[in-house]
Amino acid sequence: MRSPARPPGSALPAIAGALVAGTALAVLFSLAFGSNAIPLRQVLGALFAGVDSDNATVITSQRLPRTLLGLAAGLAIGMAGALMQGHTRNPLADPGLFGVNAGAAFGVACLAFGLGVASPALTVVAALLGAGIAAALVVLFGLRGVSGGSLVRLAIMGTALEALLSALTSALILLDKGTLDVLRFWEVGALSDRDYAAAAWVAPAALAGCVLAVANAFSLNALGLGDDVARSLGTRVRTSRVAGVAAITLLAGSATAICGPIAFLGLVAPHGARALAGHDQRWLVPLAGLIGAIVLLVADTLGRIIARPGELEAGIVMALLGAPVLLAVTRRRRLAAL
Amino acid sequence: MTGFATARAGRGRGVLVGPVGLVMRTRSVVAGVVVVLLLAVLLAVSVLTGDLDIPVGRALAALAGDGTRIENLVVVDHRLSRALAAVLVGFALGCAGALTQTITRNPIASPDIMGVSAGAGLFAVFLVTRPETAKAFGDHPAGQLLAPAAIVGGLLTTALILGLSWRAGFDGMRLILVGLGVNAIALAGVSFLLTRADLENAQAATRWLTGSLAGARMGDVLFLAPLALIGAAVCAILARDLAALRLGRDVAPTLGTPPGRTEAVALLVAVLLTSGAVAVAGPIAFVAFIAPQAALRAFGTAGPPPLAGGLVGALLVLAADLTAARLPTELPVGVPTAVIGAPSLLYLLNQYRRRTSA
Repeated sequence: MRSPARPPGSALPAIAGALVAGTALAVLFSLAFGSNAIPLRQVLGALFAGVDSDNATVITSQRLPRTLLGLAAGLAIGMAGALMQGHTRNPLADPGLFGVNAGAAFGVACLAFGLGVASPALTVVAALLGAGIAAALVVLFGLRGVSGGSLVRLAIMGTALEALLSALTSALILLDKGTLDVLRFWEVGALSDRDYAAAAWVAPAALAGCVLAVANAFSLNALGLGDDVARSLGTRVRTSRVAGVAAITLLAGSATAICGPIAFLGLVAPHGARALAGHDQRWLVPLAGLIGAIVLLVADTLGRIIARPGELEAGIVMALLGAPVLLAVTRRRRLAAL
Repeated sequence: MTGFATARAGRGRGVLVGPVGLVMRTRSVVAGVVVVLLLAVLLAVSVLTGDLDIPVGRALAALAGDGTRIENLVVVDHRLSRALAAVLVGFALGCAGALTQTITRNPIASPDIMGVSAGAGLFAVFLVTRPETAKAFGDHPAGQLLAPAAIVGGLLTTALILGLSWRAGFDGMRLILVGLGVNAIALAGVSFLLTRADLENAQAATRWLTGSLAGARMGDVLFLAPLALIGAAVCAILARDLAALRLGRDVAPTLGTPPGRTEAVALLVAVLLTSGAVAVAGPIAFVAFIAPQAALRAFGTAGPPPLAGGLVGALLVLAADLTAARLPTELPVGVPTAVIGAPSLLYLLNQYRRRTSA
């Protein structure tokens, strides 16, 4: 993308400010709307003044944990996607590439196969464990040969592991009807029925991932020039690759544990951020996170409004909203090369 | 033989037959012979052995056309057609994967993520989870309508992807991104139908989505064979242009290769092959990704090779189907495909450190 006449980057703080404001609005939107709409004054009252009413209980016990988890998952998916595309220099890379989504699905399938129906918190733990083990396998095998080089090899290994794990998941689903019943709802990608216990399990991983991601983004600009140039600029290539992989794994793992595999968002949010903010990874990574959070929260809330009194899962709303946007963007502009 | 020429080319021997040129490097020849031999062995195993105990002599007689009615039914209609269908489906998927990986210069751009299989799947799942719609097409069992539904779905999705990405010519990257968008919608549709369906129907749909060859008959083989032949012929003719395209869209024209036309033809072939395979066996995942990447390393080629990718795909699906049919509980072929294919690819990845993957 060609930058406009103004010096590149001068609009970035304004864009970032707008996205932060947008995220705040999306949070309020998610708190105020649902199977019934609650006026904004009552929302703020319940949050900050400790007002006690039926509506306040709905907000603090149901909508608040759900919204916080949506915020965290959206941020995590967006940032993980930007890091993934930056490190692999592959615009088709999504954060599920290290086998994280497939591992999480396998964890949930094992839990359902062994125990039948489980609590949300237990499901989150199983997904986190599965994602962690899958990513650890990919990294252990994949990083052995990495003396630098982009992470393409790692992505191929991840995809191969994903194939293996999804096949095993399919086997469990096909052998046991109960597992299919659990997994068909998990795999849609939804934020319904999440509680504070689930949030408590994911929070540390997500937080660590965010910090690591922002730190890692600083070396990503140099790495984008190629490993040799990056090294001559003083970047420790191997260290930043390893840090990048760790950040992607933590973020993608916790996001998938929260809301199921919403890989499409991780693919699209970085493209959106690039269209807005150009190629400076230090801005790109956090901005992609904010876009992810806004989109996920809005999709979740719209799903609650559209299908009252039931709800349409966030994953489905997101595909229906996000795909046409992606199509429009790819048709309109010259595609930004990576 | 007219138009036949040989020449020394680099470390191998070049052969030219009409428009088709081939460099015979030892590595590729050895790998090719090994794969073809393995295919022959597995074909023999699948035709000569099975649940029903038929002596080898009788099975061969049935193949030659003078077996009893039962022997013909078992050996020709069941075993042979299933094995041939596995070979053709695997070839189609492997070949299609190599083509999409080559024209996008991206190892993860397989037809799986480009919406074609998902679009075909959406139509088929709709038919399975809403049995009342199947009734609207007359008094057929829903199973019989699955293949036509998958073909219609695949072609409609393809038309949609091609239509949306046409903008004074095709651009590989735009095509893929449009495919990703369409894929996301189709997958969301499948999820929606699965979560709203009756659990029995959801199970039937899941089985189909995993990909199975249990129902393959001679008709499927006759339907796929011409497709695979056309695909193989186009790949052989395009080989030079594809190799030129690998060097980049800017370099290709200087070598006499029109990038847009080559990409369009290759993509069309890839889509036809994928739709055909999905119609016969359902969307068997990952063959299109694994086979070309494995072939690239086993054959030591510069990029994902379409024909060799097809051969490896055929070997993978045939081996997987043999396994699937002999497990204590029969699982659809999609499960063993990945269980066999993924570790093989991981092994090859570790054996051969290479700088390129696409």
